[in-house]
Amino acid sequence: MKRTLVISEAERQRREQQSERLRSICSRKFGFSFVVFRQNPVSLVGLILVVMMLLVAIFGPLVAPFDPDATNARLRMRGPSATHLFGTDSYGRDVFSRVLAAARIDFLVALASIGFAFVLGSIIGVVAGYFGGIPDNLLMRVMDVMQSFPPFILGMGLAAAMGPGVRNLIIVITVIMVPGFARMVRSRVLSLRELAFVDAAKSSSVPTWKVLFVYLLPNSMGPIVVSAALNISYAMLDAAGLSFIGLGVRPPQAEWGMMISEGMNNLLGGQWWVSVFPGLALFISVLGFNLLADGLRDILDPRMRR
Amino acid sequence: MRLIAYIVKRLLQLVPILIGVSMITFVTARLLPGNPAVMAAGPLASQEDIAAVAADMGLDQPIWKQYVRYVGDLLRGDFGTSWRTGEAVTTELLRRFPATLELITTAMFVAVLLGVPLGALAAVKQGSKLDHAVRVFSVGGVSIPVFWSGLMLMFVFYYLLGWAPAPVGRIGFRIDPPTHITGMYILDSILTLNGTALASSLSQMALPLITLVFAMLSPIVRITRTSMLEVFREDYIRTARASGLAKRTVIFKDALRNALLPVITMIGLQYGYSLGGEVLVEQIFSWPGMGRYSIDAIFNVDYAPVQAFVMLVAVIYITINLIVDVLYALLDPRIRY
Repeated sequence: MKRTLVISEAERQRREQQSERLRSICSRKFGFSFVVFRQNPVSLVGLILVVMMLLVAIFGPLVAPFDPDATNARLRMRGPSATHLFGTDSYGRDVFSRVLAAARIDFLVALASIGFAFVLGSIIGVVAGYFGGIPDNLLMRVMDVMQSFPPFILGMGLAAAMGPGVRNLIIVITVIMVPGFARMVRSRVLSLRELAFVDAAKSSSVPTWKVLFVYLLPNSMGPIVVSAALNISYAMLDAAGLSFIGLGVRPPQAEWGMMISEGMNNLLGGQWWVSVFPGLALFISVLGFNLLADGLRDILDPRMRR
Repeated sequence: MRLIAYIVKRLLQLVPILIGVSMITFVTARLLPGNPAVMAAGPLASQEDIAAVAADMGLDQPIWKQYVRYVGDLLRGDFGTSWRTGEAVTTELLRRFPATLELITTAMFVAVLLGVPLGALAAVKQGSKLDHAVRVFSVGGVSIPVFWSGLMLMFVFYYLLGWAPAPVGRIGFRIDPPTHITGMYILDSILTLNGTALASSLSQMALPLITLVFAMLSPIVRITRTSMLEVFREDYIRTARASGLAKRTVIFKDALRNALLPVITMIGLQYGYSLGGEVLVEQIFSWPGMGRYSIDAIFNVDYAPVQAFVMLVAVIYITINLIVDVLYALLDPRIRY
């Protein structure tokens, strides 16, 4: 079960330093976030955008002026006005209320799938990295195969097989996100398992599952959290993209990507509002997560700083 | 000789990956909604007809036999039949392949030509206004959904300003495509010295190209910048500068050349990755490529083309990564192969 890994003394020292740095970063939680935002004010902007859009997702539907799904044949394709801030679409539905309702779906899909991918990927990575040998080979070859598809294309294939719907969309996005997490956790665990505190735990007959999930996993979380933040933006874009081509949520459910596609045909007739507003909402949310992740990345990889 | 051995080794490593890829496409193909035998037999078929078609398609066989048959078909280049058009998916995909290849390759080319100098410049002038501008620009590039930025460009440059031609297809309505040589209009019209076709296909391509380039640019800029900054910190750069070589010489001759290795990896990755964006861009601009073909198929609940497309893209992606690895080994003498 245990595999000895021959590494040079210098390499061992390097790994120790690296994990020491990560551990110290992760332990001072408040200091950590403070440092992030002082060093990189841009990521503070990201945080503000993310929080703002999250609030929209949570409370938006409660304050929406109209029922997002209510059609009105007499109010089709009206431009933005005082009553209909973002205008109405080809069914006479209020675009503003739909953008608000869609926020909930888009955030739900992105956050849920990243959450699931995070958990699944961590388990796979920790098991593969700790045990090595056959389980490692088996799991990592499966990850290799999944990564031989460009993610969005794999998503297309899976979504076409499973059919549209919010639940299926979450599953699809989870699947395409798992390999990245698994690989990252595995490489962290590979360097961590050589450290003294893991040896100590193993030799004092701590059960294996505890070594895995209490000792190794929490200590490999630093870079994974950053990558989770970054991947939320990809998850959001991919989910909206799949909905845009009809493989995501099912109409009449409001979703940003699908709303953009619904407004596509009217755009060249000059009726821009149906596509523009949901696109802006999507752009702002993704931008927020990207800016946030950018600052976090600088902290974890000091080579990028200066 | 050692290079050939290395390539052979890499090709052998691909075998299990390709088997895995075919398993994934096989499983998803079997999960597809709708019974393929019912689809193939047509709307007027009786139960017996459907059973006969199912037997003919091998659907009554055990699953592993079906898989073997599926792989056999793939190896013969048979990706199934589109029930909507009744044509072999392989033929239909191949017909559309040049359009996709042309758009994405040109985009990659432009993105590299712009991205590498921009990234290098940002690194040289680290912390300057230019550096910050490049940074903001690249975060914007990865955050904008391509299917939205494409539409916005279309709205502004076609509808509002009228500068771009109608965003439909690869060449103007009244213009004959150039003589078919490669199937790529720009290349073909240059080869046949057809100025009209060249001008028209260039203007048709402008907007989809800008959309794709904007999305591809950021990762290239970012990796070039990071890689340059890392190389700048190397001892040999300091030595070169200290021994009195001009800054410009050091930057372009020593630093950039060494910094390009990770950039090449990123370009390879990006090329395959962008096939996802390409699908969406083709859909928006009615670009008659493989991506648009498979989206049309999705809307018509015709999933054989989608699976074939997914499989084909995986193969392209794997091939590109192989080429990148070989290039890498060629360029970096430290890599032992």
